[in-house]
Amino acid sequence: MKKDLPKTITEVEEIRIETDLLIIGGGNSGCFVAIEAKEKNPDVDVTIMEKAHIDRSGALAAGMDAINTYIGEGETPESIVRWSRAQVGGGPLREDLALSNAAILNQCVESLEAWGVPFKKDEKGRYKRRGRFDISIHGEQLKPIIAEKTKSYKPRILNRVAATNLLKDGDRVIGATGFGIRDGKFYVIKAKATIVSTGGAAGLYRSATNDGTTSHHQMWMNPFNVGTGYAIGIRAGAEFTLMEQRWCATRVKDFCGPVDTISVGYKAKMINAKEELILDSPRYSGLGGDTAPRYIRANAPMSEWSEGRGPTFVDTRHLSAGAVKDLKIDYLNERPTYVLFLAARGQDPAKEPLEIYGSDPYIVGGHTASGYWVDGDRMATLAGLFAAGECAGGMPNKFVGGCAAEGVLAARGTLKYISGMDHGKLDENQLAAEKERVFAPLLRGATLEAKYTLPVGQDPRWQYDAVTPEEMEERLQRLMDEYAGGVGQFFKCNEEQLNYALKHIGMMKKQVNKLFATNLHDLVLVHDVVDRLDVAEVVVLHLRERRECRWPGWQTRSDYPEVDPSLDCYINSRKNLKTSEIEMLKRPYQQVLPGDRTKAPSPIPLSAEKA
Amino acid sequence: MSDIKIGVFLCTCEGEIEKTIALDVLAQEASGRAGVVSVRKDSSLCSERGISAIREDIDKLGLDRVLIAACSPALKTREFADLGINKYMVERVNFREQCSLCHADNSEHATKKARAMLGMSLEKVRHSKALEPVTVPAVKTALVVGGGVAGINAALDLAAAGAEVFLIEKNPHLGGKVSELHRYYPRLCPPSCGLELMYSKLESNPRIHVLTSSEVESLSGSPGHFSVSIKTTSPGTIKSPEEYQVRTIIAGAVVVATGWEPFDPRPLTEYGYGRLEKVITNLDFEKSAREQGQFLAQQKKTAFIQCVGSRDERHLPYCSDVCCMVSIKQALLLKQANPDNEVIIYYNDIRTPGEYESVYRQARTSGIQFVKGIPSELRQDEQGKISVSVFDLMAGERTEFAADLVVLATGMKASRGTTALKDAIGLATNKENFIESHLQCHPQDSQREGIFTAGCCRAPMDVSRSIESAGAATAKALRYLQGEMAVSPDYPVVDILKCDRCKRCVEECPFKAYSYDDKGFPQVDILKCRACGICMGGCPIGAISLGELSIEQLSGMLDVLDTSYLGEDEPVILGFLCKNDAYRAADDAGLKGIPCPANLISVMVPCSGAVNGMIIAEAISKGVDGVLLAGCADNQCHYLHGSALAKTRLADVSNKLKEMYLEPERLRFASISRDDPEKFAATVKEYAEELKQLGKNPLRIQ
Amino acid sequence: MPVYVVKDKCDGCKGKDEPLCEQICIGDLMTLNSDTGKAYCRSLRDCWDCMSCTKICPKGAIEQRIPYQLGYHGAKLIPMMGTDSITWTCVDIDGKVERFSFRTRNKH
Repeated sequence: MKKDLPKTITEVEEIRIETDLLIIGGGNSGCFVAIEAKEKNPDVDVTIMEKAHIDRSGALAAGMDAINTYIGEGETPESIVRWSRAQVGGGPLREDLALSNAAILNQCVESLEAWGVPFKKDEKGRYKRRGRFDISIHGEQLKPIIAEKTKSYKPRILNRVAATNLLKDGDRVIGATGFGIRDGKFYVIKAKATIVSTGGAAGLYRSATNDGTTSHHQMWMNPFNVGTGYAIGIRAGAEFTLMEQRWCATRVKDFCGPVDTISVGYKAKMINAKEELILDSPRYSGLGGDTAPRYIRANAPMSEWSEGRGPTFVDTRHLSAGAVKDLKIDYLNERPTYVLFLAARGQDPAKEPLEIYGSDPYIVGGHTASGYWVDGDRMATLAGLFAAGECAGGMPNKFVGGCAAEGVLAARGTLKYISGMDHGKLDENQLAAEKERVFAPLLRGATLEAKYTLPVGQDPRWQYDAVTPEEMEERLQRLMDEYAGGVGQFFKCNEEQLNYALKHIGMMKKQVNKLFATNLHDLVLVHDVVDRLDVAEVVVLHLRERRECRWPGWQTRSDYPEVDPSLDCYINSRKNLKTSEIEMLKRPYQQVLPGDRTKAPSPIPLSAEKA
Repeated sequence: MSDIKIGVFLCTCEGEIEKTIALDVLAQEASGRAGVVSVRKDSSLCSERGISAIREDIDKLGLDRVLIAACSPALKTREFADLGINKYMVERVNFREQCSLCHADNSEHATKKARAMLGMSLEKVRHSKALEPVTVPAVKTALVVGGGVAGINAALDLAAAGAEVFLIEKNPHLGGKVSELHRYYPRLCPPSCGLELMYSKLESNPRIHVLTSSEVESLSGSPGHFSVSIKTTSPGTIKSPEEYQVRTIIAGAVVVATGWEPFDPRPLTEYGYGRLEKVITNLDFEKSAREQGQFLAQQKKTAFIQCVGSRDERHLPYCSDVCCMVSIKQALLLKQANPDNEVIIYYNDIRTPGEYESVYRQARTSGIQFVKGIPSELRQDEQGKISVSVFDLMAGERTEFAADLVVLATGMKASRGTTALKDAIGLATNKENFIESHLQCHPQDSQREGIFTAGCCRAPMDVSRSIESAGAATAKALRYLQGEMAVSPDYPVVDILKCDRCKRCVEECPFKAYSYDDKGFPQVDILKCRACGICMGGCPIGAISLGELSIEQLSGMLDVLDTSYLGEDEPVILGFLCKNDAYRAADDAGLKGIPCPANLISVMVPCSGAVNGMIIAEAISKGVDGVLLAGCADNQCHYLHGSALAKTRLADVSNKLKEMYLEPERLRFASISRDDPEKFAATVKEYAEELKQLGKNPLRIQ
Repeated sequence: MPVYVVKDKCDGCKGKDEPLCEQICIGDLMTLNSDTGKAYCRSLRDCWDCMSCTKICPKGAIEQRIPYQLGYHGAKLIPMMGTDSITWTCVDIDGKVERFSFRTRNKH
């Protein structure tokens, strides 16, 4: 209900809830946390705080066409972990987390089928493989199905509530605060354990095609996942890992949609303007060609462009009409408007290859390893705080299936933790300060005086002498793109650029108190940019700290182009709550599976598998 | 699914069905289907022997659901009612009326269609659930609103049937309009006689509680358990002010008997009522006759003017039913008091149906004159008499009469009590403010379950009919006064996990059977629900299913329907036929031997409004060439606005098809009433032809 | 990539508090204009075109249009929801029509 907006903080109503488990983010992994928790303990009180509506929220909003982690016939948990390790150039990665995840991966994926998601099968009734660990699904209803299953356990679901900060009792996290996007209330949720599962952070960087009037959010990842989960942890003093390992992927150009569908699913190879097979060139064949680590393959098109051999494509001209149709159906299950994009260009994949390009960088702990530093129970470095899915760091290549498994593991971790736990004590001062912080922009918007004239039909916000959240977001995105290795710079950055970025992020953070909102939707935008600033700052600090080029593309230092063996470790960060400075630290890599880290075992062909 | 055990029974109907449909072939095919444990062919399943055979199979083979392919599910319901298995696990397949009989001219097509029908029904029964009726507690208390002759009799009848009764009356005394009458027809009894008897019966019955000076303030709850708030006013005196007492009673059923009010003829200024002292109304006549002993004897020359205000579009557009007999009664009283009294009744039509005809004859033979013609105005002449000048249509000439008294036969209109009650508890009324019912089929029902009408609050009627209708209302109300009610599990169930609280079901329910729970989700009052399925039809998410027909079943049936069951060149039409009308018309077409092409395969729905847009869309997606929704005409729909809603939903899907470059002609609505099998057959024939021209559904090729 | 609401088709979900598109939008972008009683997208540039609103609209009143930055005018992509399947119709700028129908839920 649209209601009158408050003019003073006392007008803001509060809702206080006490729960056992607070799940921040009702996406894929968040729902799996709830389901597993309730399965194991039907009496546990579970609350899900969801910024949008659980039925479609998160990266799965339009659906999904594939599960990229499933241990099929001939593969084992060990082989998938080795493969994952090789994909990131040998790591470092948390093999302990990866092994515990792989142990329960298949049953999580299979439960999706049990709940009604159609899985493509081969003639023998096995899940049809499109890649080594990739299987195909028709997932248009994937999120509604997961949401229904979650709702059947009757957790307390708070739709349209955006998380703002964690609540602490000393060093322990005892819940979180949020505000209602529709009801404008201040939510105070006390929880014995808090799980952050807000997905990744998109929109830190400028997307390649975001300069159009209506294409600002033309990006691969859900733009409403802004990294709030990371930001609240950063502000609370939790430790983060590998935030420099950004996911810079190859994407179909301009549309910025997934490309694995085509390249993996339909064996379409990357070619450059001269129609040369990129990965067959000497430069890449030595690195493994088609099986080269992911960041090599992902960066290949951008390298071609920067060296003057663009445009780059995936060659789909060999596809039969039936295959093109299947390809489009795959897209209709994941990013349906790609089919519209092709139609709007009158483009037939069987006649013209599909153009590809690099994407803006994302921080997604389900794809690379950036995120919270967690233990085997998925607990972060603050007691009572857990991370699941893309929020959890240290383990790359989780994708949908792995994030679901993370949710299950985090649920188990929390149940173990809360046994015998109390709720902790709220600091009312802390709470009042947070409430002020959250609603300040709205109160500002309610009391600003119109200063400027306005032509008819213009956005009324331009009457005020203040800063709109969109302006600050644009500034941040351009800043990151130019100075922190965005796609516009072919992902390259150097020490001076990074310092410049830090300086200007700092200046923006000082001006956050100029942001205003005249309605609740704008208040969301304000907090989105505030959270993005905190995450961006940490990303830049990590990029600066890693003075080498371990994963070019994901992390390219033009001033340190070689690998530095002394940096074969985790680069972590943690805010010092006394000084408010982010402190950098290193943690050693621990190899669990012996052998060459950069090599994956050969794939075992399926019996009677078609080539 | 592996634990279901389906028994398929095919009836040849003494060879009749088998003449057209190759039952043996179908039996063979059915026996191979998943879950089918037995297939039995019989010459007469509905016979005692046949029923025994079914029961035995169910028992011996442990069948948990059966398919009976025989005559229409509308027939032989008693015979198939008790097979020793939950009735919701019995699926009837209409092999006879809607297949072998109407496709008798094409045995090949009939068999193909029968095959498709069997397949769909097998899928439907796979998803059937063994539902049990729900028992709902109900109180044995009835509320009668209105203490006139109808209300009093309703109270007495209800109490006699064992109910506790609260009889409330807004005036300080009982009796209503009858207590104001001098005599009532046909026997010219004094109302005091009848009423006194009734009052003493009321008083002596401990189960009846009379509350005068009382009105209904509000009503909530549902049939079997209404919660009614009643306000009783103690009249004020000089010393003490008016006081109110509000009490709540719980009633299982309510009988509304809020009576009528006389039409005031003042607006008809040409008759001078209120201006001319000697012009009175029929009710004034009763009052005068009652109060003044010599009144009747003294009226030497009286004129009665009929239809004053009634049958008049400017005032009361209907006939008020009683005025002819009232005037005749009053005329007879005048003659009885003094045979020399001259009486003329000026009329348009004399309406004295049934036995009242003899009273009319009696009036004629007693010297009362009847003149067919109505004066255009009344004037007082110099002698102070009222000059009545009328063109006598029968005699063909003008007549003049100088009357001592002119009685305007004014009609009945809806009372303020009715309007007040309607506002307080929300009852549907017609344009003239009488309480609306489904006139032909359920005259005693209001449009709210558990609330009934007696007497003139529904329509003008005389004392006999009022008392009769009180009995009828009592009979209907008794269902809710048994202390416990079994509700058939046909009512809809909302899947809360899917529901997003868009409120459409609540809005569209014709019987206002939905309310909101504390989380804002819709919940259905199973006692108010009439299982029409309009909610199921309207839910944008498909989250509502009826007990007897679920979205899951419909979706499954669409999955298995072979959209080329007649061959590649013949279109397939999926027909959703409404149970009360279109489905019966289709059956009738078969029974009358009206040939019909086998392109249409039907699904019986309670109302055309029960068909969900998503199912229509899905049918087209799965390759059906045409979808026909056949229901009642808008103004005849048993569920009020079901057909109108069906058309809207069809239009929405049509629009979508247009955008998708699919032909909107693939969707059609037809109004088919039960007695029009010819229209049904013609519709199918025409539609099949049109679809043949249109070509195959492009999605069929996918 | 933005969504547009066809005003002649939108009925504001019968004027209820939150029309279906507003309930489901992942970015809090769809909302009801209480003056016109119809829904609209508050920020076309912020839509991620997940098409949840397009799919859920009972009147089929929402259209997907690709920004001119990305593609030419006149192409269409229309979903038709079934209870367990979906049928997509795609029309390209030359008027060529393609249809895709597939199952989205398995029954038990």
